[in-house]
Amino acid sequence: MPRNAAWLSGVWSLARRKPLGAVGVAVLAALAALAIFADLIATHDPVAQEIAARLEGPSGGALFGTDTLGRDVFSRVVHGARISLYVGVVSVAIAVAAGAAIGLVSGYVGGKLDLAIQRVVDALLAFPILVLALVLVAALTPSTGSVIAAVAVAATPQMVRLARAEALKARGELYVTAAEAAGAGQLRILVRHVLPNGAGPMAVLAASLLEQAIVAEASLSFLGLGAPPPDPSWGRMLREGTGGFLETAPWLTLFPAAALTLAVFSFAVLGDAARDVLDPRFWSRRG
Amino acid sequence: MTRYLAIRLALFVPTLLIASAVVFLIMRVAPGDVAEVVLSGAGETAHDVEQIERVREELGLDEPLAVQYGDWLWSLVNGDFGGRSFVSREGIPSIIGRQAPVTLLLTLYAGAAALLVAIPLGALAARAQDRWPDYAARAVSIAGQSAPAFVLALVVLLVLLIVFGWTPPLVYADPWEDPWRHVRITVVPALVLGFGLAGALVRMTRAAVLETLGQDYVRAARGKGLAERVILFRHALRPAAIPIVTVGALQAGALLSGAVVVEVVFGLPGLGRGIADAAAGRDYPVVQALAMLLVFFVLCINLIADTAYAVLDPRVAYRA
Repeated sequence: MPRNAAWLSGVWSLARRKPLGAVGVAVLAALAALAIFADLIATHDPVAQEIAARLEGPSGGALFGTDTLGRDVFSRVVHGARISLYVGVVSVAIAVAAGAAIGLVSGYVGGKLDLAIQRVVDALLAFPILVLALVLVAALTPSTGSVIAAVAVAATPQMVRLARAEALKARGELYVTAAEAAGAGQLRILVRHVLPNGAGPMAVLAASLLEQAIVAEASLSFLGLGAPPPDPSWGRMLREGTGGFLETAPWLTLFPAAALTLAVFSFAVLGDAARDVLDPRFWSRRG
Repeated sequence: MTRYLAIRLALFVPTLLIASAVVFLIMRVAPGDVAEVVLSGAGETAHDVEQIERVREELGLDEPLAVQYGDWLWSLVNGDFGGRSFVSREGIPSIIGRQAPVTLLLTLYAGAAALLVAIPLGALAARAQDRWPDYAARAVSIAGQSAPAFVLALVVLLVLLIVFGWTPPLVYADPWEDPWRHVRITVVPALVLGFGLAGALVRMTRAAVLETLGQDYVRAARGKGLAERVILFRHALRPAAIPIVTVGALQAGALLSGAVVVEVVFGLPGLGRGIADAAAGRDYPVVQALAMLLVFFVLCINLIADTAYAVLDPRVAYRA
């Protein structure tokens, strides 16, 4: 069998055993496509106002209707995917990189440094993630960058905790002793040996962090603390759709709510599937 | 047991202290002049030098950072909680006295509802693995984890409004002043908030009970001819309680994060809405105080969970 076909059949059998995970991947791919090709997919300019056509219900001309300023809701939902995924991916990438670096060093070096870092992590983990993000955003000037920074900081402690646990587990392992005996430097051991061994659980956590980051971004925007208007964030759209228009213009709420729920759902099921697939017991079961 | 709890308690105070330093530093390293930001947040446009000086003095910004931190910390201990709001001028202790009961009751109802539904549902799902009750429970679990609390809150509000023509009362009432209005305004937000928690708990309960149902002592109980109901709820569920408590406690922060947005959606005058409004208005003293209070709640819940472990599984205390 050619190599490509073998790979494809592997993907297919994985998708059959984890159908929900496959759905999650498919939905995420679709959302990513929306985000990347938003300009091509959107039927209107997401920020163009047309007051004469305000609060019109869904129709052929405006698939998801129009909002209070006559902006096209469909185009705003499509562009919202861009902001949501952008903030989510960038903040989680920062959290994963920073958390992994701090956690691995903390666990591997140990001693007083570890003790100090872990007490700070304890304190940060005691914050509800949205509350920490709120405090940070309140201190910064309102911008997309501030939201990313706030969400990244709020998400980092979880990754520090996990990376530290992986480093502690690795410290007693033979492969680390072997690398030490072979004369590898500490940095090399951490990056080349400890990190790859902890990558599975860290990937699972990253999926969960993406889910949390997207909810946090939407929540901040919903509370009016997200990126400043007119950026069409889903959270902001929900904020604008609720003030007195819940009953008269439910499309303002339903479409962004559905988009957000779909994104969170896909990251949730993707994380679940990844957890199972990365568990060695999964592969020993015939299915 | 005493020693174990003493260690937990000893960790409580430093964690709270470090959290306070984090909150304080975030608020003080903010770019720009805090006094000006506070004034602009209060909606005042004319910033004369005198006004800025007054705010600076009230915030203690003319003091060195360490003194400011010390003063603030002391005010948290002596119950002053950092003075008064910059926006409403209301004293922070009175704000907390007004808002804290709302949030505590809301999260209590949500937690109770989630536990009452999720634990039996999770246990039954494990019992009926891969049959329809299991699929139903898993669907509830996935839905609970996927729908962010405020999105669910908005959609529920929308459905109640359009389908049933029902809206919750606009003004909150304490249970001791108007119990019926209190129930009507809190029941929907509590259920919405509890749904997310239930999602996580169902999943954990199912996994934990599946694990214990395979144990020898369950087979022994079955061999003795005990009723399935007794086996499930007494023999299989009790050892499963430890992971359930862990997950429950880890969700405390998520529950409070959810409370922030749910309170805003339903117009409940709790701490969550309080901190969101304060953050939007750059009302720094209130943001600081409420953030600390919420952290304090989370730490208390963790402490209760740690105590619960030791009660449920005496080995935990011995190992410490």
